[in-house]
Amino acid sequence: MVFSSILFILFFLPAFVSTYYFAPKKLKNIVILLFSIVFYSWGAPRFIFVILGTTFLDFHLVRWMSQSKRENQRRLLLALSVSINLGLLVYFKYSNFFVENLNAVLSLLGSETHIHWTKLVLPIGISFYTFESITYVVDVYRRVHKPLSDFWNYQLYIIFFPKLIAGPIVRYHDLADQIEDRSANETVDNILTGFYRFAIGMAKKVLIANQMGVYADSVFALNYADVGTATAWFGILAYTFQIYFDFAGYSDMAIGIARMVGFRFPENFNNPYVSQSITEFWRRWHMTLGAWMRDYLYIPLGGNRVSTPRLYFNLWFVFLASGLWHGASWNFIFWGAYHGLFLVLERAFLLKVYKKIGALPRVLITFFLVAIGWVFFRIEHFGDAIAFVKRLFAFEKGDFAMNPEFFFYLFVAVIFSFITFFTFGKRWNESVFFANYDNKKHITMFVVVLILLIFSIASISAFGFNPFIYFRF
Amino acid sequence: MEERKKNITPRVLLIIVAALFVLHFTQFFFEWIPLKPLSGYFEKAKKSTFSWKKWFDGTYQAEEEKYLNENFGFRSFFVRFNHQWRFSLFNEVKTQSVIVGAENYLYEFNYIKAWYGTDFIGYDTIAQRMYKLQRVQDTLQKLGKHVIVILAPGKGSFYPEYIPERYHQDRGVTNIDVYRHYIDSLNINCIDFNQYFVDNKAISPYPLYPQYGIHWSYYGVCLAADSIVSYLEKINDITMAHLYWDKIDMRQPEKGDNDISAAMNLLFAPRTFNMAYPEVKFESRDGKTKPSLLVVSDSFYWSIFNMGFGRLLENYHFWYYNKEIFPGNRLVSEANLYNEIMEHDNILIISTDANLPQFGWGFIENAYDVFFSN
Repeated sequence: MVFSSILFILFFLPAFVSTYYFAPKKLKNIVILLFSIVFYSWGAPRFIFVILGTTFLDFHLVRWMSQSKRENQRRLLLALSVSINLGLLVYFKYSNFFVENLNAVLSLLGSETHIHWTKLVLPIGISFYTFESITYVVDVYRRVHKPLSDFWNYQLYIIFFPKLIAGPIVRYHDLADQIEDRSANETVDNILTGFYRFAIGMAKKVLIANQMGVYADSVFALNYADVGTATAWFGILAYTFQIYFDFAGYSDMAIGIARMVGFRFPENFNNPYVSQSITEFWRRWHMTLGAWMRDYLYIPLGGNRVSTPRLYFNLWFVFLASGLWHGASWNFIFWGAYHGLFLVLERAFLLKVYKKIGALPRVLITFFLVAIGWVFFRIEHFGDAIAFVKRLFAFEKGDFAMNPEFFFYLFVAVIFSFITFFTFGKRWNESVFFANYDNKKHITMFVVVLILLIFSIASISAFGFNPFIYFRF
Repeated sequence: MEERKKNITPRVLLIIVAALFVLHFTQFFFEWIPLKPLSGYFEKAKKSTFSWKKWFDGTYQAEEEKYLNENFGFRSFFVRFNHQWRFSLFNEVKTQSVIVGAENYLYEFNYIKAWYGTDFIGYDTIAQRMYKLQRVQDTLQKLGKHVIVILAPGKGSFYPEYIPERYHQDRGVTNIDVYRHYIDSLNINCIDFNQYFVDNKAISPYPLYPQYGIHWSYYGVCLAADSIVSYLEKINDITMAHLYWDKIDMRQPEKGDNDISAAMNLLFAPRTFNMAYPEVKFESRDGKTKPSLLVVSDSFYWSIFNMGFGRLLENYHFWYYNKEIFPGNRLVSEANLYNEIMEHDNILIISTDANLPQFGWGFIENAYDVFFSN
């Protein structure tokens, strides 16, 4: 079940929020848990047993670890829990990739041996909940937070549906206290502002990302050898905005739903396309993944407190891992390496160069680099990606025309991506998303959100509805 | 007081949100606000039945989701709203194959292809089909039966000037040109309304083709129906009751004259020039001959069928795309072709230019086989 569906918006969500508020306090977590199980098993009915089983195992391992007095045993249990979680992730997500590459290498070496492997289906959300499970075990190991005493509360932390499919990755210590008690956040104001946030996210996803996606798909479906330069640029711009509004929209919806039932999720995006360097971009893009990578990988590797070559290695390694996390394919690894390279270059000298130019050129350079990076994210085969990049700089005319509708959506996407570059935009952003709401602002926002919701539902409801004028045989 | 007012506003807004969701639920369950249903042809989702097998393989969820998508409360309003703003702002139409031309003249893509000849099926295919038709016609003629081909007009050939620029190209050989060639050279009975409509486009007192419809206008249909009666009289040497009209109403297009616009499912039908609606009447059939008639046609015949053309005939059937039989809702595949042909004195095969690649929809080949196979 996806958030941007009729089933979710008009049936599941109202049923969930109303059941939650009508339920007595002691049953509220059970309500969330039950709705989360239905939500997950609706899309992945077989994998619900995987997630329930691993959480059961994790919970007891962590409890055992927290009760243990011996450091060696604590370390062993930590390693065991992390290995189980990562092992499942590797098994489901990367074994297809690993076997394919191994067979390719064997074939290159002239071996007739071929490893037979039945392709696995990836359990929905495994990349997200695995990382969250790791934060639980590591946070308890580091004594950042005590373990949960109730298994069902731990189950709720892992399976809480707003964040289950596409994040944000909520670290255990950010959510632990809210699971136990969030009554102070169950206010009319939070329900309403959560609803606003949800509707804004929906509009980002349905009214911008989906529209951009139509154009991106049409360009990336062309034969790259024939793509004109302008078309190639419009294609990659469409994809650049599609991926941002899609992912940020989904995060907004998750944050909004959580807020409606009293949870505070961390922010996941902070206007990343106004970043003035790749370093800054990663502080604004998928912030919860960045925070996870920093806390649970970069710092354990030594972080900044190492020699310069080791620091560069750490940075690059983290970004390779980040690339691989996004997908089991070489293009994602290359994309991670590409970003890692610019991070290292910025540390080495680029940031000093950037200081000599203005903010606008810095934003444009960063946006340009990020957009080029998306080519490798979007196109699976390296050769095709290079062919596409060549078209970006071929300066040749093509015969593929984008229609006026595309430019309208592109204009909207540009406005909402770059508005916070300006002071008034920052103020507007702060006022909509973070400041308190007075009555006047509530009414204004309510009207805007209702309009967005009508347009979004209309757009979803008409999707795929292409009737014939007359029935034909 | 101020603090209390501050608390009330969010509560009222929240109640409105809740009320809107409740409103949706009541509409979903009871449909208490009647809404105009969506037009056009599409496969409707059925309510799923639950089983654990279907649950675990995901088919229950997929079917249920599809059903809810198509049946949630106020769905037709939301679809129309979406189509309206996209059409008003961007001229975007979601109906299958519909193309928006200059000045909002609407086409289906296959009519544009027919005009430029990009759907040309080749000389051999057409020749083979027409030679078969000639032999069937000659055989039936000996039995006192007549086969008549009717070339209906097409939107692309009637309004080529409004075809969007991006489709402009040099015209190649078209199916209709080659069909005409064989119709002439093989002496096949034919009424070429396609040419007649184009020739009369500028001089007709009323529009022969609508802006937002894909078929001939109702006025054009009335002229065509009258011409068919005259042709049947001539070829059978009989006197039939005629249709006629004393009065013509001019009003905004409706039904067939608006069929693309209706299938666009907009909130508001776009305004266009008025169309002519003759008040059709039928002469008394007393003392007149009522020939039998079998019509094999595409959708262009529906408007003649629906105007009550059958009143002038006896033993009259319409084989829609050579698949379904009206009246009676039988399937052609269930009928005995030889008997059916023998029961009718006249057979009309009607097609617009866009459907000429499949002309006859198998009827010609099947009839040929009935009379000539071994």
